[in-house]
Amino acid sequence: MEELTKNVTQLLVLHGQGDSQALEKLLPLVYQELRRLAQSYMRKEGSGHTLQATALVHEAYFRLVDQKDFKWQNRSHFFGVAAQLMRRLLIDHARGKKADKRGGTKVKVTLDEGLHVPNPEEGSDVLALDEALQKLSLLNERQGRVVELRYFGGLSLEEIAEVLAISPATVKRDWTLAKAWLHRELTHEQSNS
Amino acid sequence: MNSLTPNEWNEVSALFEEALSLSPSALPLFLKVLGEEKPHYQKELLSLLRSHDEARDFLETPIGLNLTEILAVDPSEYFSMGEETGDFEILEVLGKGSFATVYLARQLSLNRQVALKVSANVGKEALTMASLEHDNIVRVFSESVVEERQLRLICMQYVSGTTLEKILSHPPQRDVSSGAAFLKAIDHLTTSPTAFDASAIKDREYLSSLDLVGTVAYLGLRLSSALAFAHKRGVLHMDVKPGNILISPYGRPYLTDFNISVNNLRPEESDANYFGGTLEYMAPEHLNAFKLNLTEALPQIDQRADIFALGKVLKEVLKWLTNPTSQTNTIELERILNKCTENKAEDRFADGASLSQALRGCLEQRSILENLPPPGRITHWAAKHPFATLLTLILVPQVCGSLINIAYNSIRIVNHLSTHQQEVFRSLIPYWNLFIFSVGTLILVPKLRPIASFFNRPSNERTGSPEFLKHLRKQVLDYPLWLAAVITLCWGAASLFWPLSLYLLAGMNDSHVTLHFLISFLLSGSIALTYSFLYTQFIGLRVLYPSLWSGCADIRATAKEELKTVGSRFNFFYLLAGFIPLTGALLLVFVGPEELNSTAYDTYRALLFALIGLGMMGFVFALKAGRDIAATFHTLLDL
Repeated sequence: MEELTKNVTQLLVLHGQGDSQALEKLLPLVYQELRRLAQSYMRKEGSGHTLQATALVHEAYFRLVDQKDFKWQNRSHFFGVAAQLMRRLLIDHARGKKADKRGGTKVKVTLDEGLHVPNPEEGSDVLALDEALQKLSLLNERQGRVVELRYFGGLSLEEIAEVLAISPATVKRDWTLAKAWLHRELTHEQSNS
Repeated sequence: MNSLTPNEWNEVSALFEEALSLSPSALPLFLKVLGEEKPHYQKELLSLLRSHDEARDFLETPIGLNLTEILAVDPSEYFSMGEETGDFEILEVLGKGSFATVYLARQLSLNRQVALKVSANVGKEALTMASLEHDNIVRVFSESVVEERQLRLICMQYVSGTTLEKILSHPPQRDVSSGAAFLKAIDHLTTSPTAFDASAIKDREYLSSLDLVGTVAYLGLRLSSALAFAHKRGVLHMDVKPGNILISPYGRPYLTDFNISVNNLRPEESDANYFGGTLEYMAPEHLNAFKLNLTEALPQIDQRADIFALGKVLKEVLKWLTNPTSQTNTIELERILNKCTENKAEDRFADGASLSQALRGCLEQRSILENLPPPGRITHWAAKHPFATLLTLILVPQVCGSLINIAYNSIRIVNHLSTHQQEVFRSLIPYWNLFIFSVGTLILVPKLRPIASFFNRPSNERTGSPEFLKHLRKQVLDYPLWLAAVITLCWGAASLFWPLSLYLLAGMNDSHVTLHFLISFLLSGSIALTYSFLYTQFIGLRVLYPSLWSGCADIRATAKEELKTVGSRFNFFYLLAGFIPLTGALLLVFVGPEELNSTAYDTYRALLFALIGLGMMGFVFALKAGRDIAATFHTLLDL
């Protein structure tokens, strides 16, 4: 575990030094820890229990990052990585679900109540969101990142400001706009189909 | 609506923000003005504001619902056992990584067992797959995508057995040879069915006989040759680690997972793949690549990063196999492995081929040292104190020669001199000897110093650059020739000095005496020369020369070249060792003792005795050393 913590911390530093590619090495490590945590929660609480991304990511952070070597940059980089990972996981999962002909696991992925759209096929709404988010990122990458961190990483506006090194006011503006845009994009697509 | 460019979008963003900051009463006017100036922005803004009103709680609760359940389910179980996908029937799970699972599968069309690596087909475009046909590289047969499930399948050669990673985490058995301990670990860890391979049985037999250095070098040689093969084709592995080295039940290593490897020849296609690798086995320049931008980092990473990783792996194997109580000499092997893991790429081996060569050299050197004839007393002593032994073996023949010289002079020369001449002769003797021995020593000792200082080092520091060692080997082999020249010079000088100085200082003018001086010095000088030459050449070749091969890649060929003339030199001097003293004895007998008085007669007898004794010794030496030297040659040149 100590070795792992050292590696993760070191990779976060490298990642923080400006190369997004260190991410590729971090992802599996963070992923394993998230899975481990999730499994232990499942054992303790049973499958009905809901664990927010926020809690999961924060706990993984405390387990994986060397607190003695504490730098706020490490923390925000870690959250950035975790959010990206969550998004990837959900997308992969939703994709698998959509294509799954074997029945598979009985897990349902739905967005929260804000989106009142019929659910024609399991998992398609996460995929639609992902797709819309990719479009938004093309228009403004930062706005895309804000949504990723907020929604998939469960970070607060202040934490997002820290990760992206911008002011909380800017985060709030980005969030408001991105939300409106995404909402329009998703309902628009639904009404088209 | 989606046709906005990022710049236009930024303008819309600003307008949106402005609109939200306005009081509800001011908004209509704002929109009206905007509609007149930029009608398409107005439309976009209106639709966004409407959406904003509707959105409210949309996305406000971070996703979390069921996330735990998703995570808790193992997503790496893409297939169930017995399931068929495309051309494959899934048989069992061989292993799981973070983002891929490897299955044992049957390829239905060819009815063969294959390893099927399954991963999600997301993220980057298909990774560079290298299909390399080498005995120690897992073959990649094909790569395909299951479109409807977005899975990528990589069909590979199935190697039953285990991984080096698993072997290294399994404690080795201590009471058997290293090679056998390695095989036992394999047997213990192999659970998958194995196809019987008669040809590979030999590998096992060979491996089980290997010791520590042999086993590490065995793996190193095969893996470095696999790397050499890939490097030659412009392919870097970039993630050499124990987990990526499969070991067949026959002990044969296979390098796998070339799928984050980089094809050197087309770097533009695979930039991002430079950033795989495992931290523990990553070369410093590879690690640095994280800090630099890609275009700077690209040219800095080459095959030497793979050499670094392989060096690290082999060091682990060495550490794993090392028995704290064993005495195996691993100095040379460690030197090679340390060279692999130098921090600066330019200090490492240039590629897999040169690492292979070095490992072969290490094995060769070992087999030479092991197969040399067992050391006798002199050899043993010389190995411990080369400098003292050499000096002694040079000096003793000189003293011996001097004694013969004095004896000869006393019976053949002194009685032909006048009393005055005898006085001059005797008074000059100490000065001359002091002078000529000092000159000889002054010339010979400095020449011996580099050799002596090298062998005075502790045995694990007796190394140097290949050029330096080559130079030393040459010195060791050529020193006797140099010695012969100096000795010839000194004794020759004596044979001229004595008649000349007696003529100048005491008016000696007797051609008979001059002739005997020549004979005397020729005889004793040849004896001194022959024996010191033979001894130094013997010690040089037998003791010093075989231990001067550190880092040499091709010992046999080099030794063959370097020893070309040494053999005939030996043969010539063996002959001289017996021939010269006996010729001297013949000469003495021929001239006869008739004219000698009784004291001189005793000297005559002693001299004759010594010469015949020396001749016999010469033959014994030629016989004994000859056999030893022949065996040394045999070992060095692998005859």
